[in-house]
Amino acid sequence: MKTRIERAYLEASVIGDSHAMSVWKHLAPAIVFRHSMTAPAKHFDGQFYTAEKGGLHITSAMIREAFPRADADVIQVMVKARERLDAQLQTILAAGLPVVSSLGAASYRFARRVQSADPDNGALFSRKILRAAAGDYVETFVGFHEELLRHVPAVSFLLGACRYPDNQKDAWLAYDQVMIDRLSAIGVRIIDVRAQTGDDQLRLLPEYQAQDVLHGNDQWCQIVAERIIDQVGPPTGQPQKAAQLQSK
Amino acid sequence: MNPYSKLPAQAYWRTGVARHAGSGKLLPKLWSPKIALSREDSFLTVGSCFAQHIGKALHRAGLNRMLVEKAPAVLPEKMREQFGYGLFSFRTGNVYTASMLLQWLRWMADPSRMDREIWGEGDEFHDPVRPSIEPGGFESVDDLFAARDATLTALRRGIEQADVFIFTLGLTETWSNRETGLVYASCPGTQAGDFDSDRHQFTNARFATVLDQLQQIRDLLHGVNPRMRMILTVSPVPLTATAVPGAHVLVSTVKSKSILRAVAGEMADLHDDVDYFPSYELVSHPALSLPMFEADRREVTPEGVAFVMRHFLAGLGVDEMDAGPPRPDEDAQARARADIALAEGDAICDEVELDKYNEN
Repeated sequence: MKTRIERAYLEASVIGDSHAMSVWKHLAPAIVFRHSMTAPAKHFDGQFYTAEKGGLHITSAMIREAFPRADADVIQVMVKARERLDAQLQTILAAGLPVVSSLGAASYRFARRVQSADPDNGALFSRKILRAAAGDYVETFVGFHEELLRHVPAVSFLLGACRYPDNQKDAWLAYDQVMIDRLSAIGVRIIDVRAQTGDDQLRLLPEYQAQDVLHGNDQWCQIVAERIIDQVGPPTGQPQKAAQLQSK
Repeated sequence: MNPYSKLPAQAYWRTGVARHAGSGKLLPKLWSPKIALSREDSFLTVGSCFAQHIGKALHRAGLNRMLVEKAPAVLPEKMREQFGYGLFSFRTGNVYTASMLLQWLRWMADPSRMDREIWGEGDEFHDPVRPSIEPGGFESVDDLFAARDATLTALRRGIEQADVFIFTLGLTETWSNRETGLVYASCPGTQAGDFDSDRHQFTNARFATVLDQLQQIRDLLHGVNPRMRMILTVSPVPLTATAVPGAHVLVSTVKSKSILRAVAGEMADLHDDVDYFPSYELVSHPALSLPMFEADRREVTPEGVAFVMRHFLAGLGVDEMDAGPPRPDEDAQARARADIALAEGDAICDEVELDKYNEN
């Protein structure tokens, strides 16, 4: 039997990786975004979008380059996932609502790759090198947000939970700062709760940590949700016709 | 019969040199390493800017040139050399003199002896022993010394693991701190820092000094790895400028290179585990009649570099040292790869910066 859930709608769409997904999970079912396009970060590796003839699409054209060691079956799964993501993106663009995005909140992945140069010593590299590396790493994500801004009235970027190991601190913080600087420069609003939920080194305090090693817990999500509402406005109780109801 | 009867072809000028002049082909038997070398050996390369070519040639030829100090994988390829990665086995920057290399190895052996002088300019801090390693300078003193610690750690690790240490000597002219003895990579005030005639002294190292420094270098290498073999080369790239009062740069260049060449030969004569590779001769000798220098008469042409490196690889066995069946195709490919690599881009030379002070 289908039951209509009483829920409120944020007049915004959400795009992103697991950080956005965890916020979404925390809010639902009481509050939902109008539209979503979310998937684990690996689905946004490499050149994941194209912007041609006024459009913006998720593409799988370069997926082999992004996953050179993946076998054909895995590639097929990734292609299907990107097709689904593109369909979701087109819905988001058509809706023309503000977007909350965590695409590129990839400090964890970046810092791990930096450390891979010398697993025993993660503090090898100067901040200038880390920023230069991060500047290149974020290029695709910044480009996507720049294109996205051509289609929607506003974009807010959600920084992920700041949970760096000691030997990845510099790389992690360098990456975050580069994302903040680059996205701010193109007009993306930043949702940054590190000062509120972190210590004096911005590292997430234990009371905000989820049980995994990467994400924020419900308390963290709640604070993030409040900041999102500050930026996109309070939720409304008016479902759109197109909004799909969940079955419970 | 006399000692000059029935010598091999390479022993006579007519057949060893004149016959091949202008051809660009290998001079047969130019370099037959006296130290045992094989394709399985791992090589460290350090030295003047010309040493960068040797490292790249080894790598492209499929030999094990060790890059001990690596850039983070996420740093784009195009930025790695700007930050001093991949030029040599370590992020030392150009090591032009034996005194510079000796200083690095002493610090590696005993980091407590490391000098703490820095060149600070505003919020930019340059390392006096490698002022161009971080474009625009380090942002903090902590970053500077963390990076130096990383290089010292890499030096020790590389020397522990490698089989052959290739050092390309570039200069005898040196600047140092009169009080502390710190040897600078370049004259203070040229690339960074401020020149102070009371504190900064010029030295033009003589034969005995360079020889003593190389002996100490060998001892320090063996202190970490008793099996380490050395190959010494001399960069054929002339000095950009000389600081010898009243001297002509041509005379200073020939004097400097002659000392380095002679000391390198002396080291090879003294020690069974030290060899000399004649890159200097191949580029510098006019009898070979090859276009070795660019229009500035200083930079070695890509063809000249490739010519040198083909001899180097041939000596290392790409042509002749294989114990197994001959592999001409592979050798040809290796040489082609070396040629292509060497034609790609110029080496990064700090010393060339000196010419911007030439107001003539």
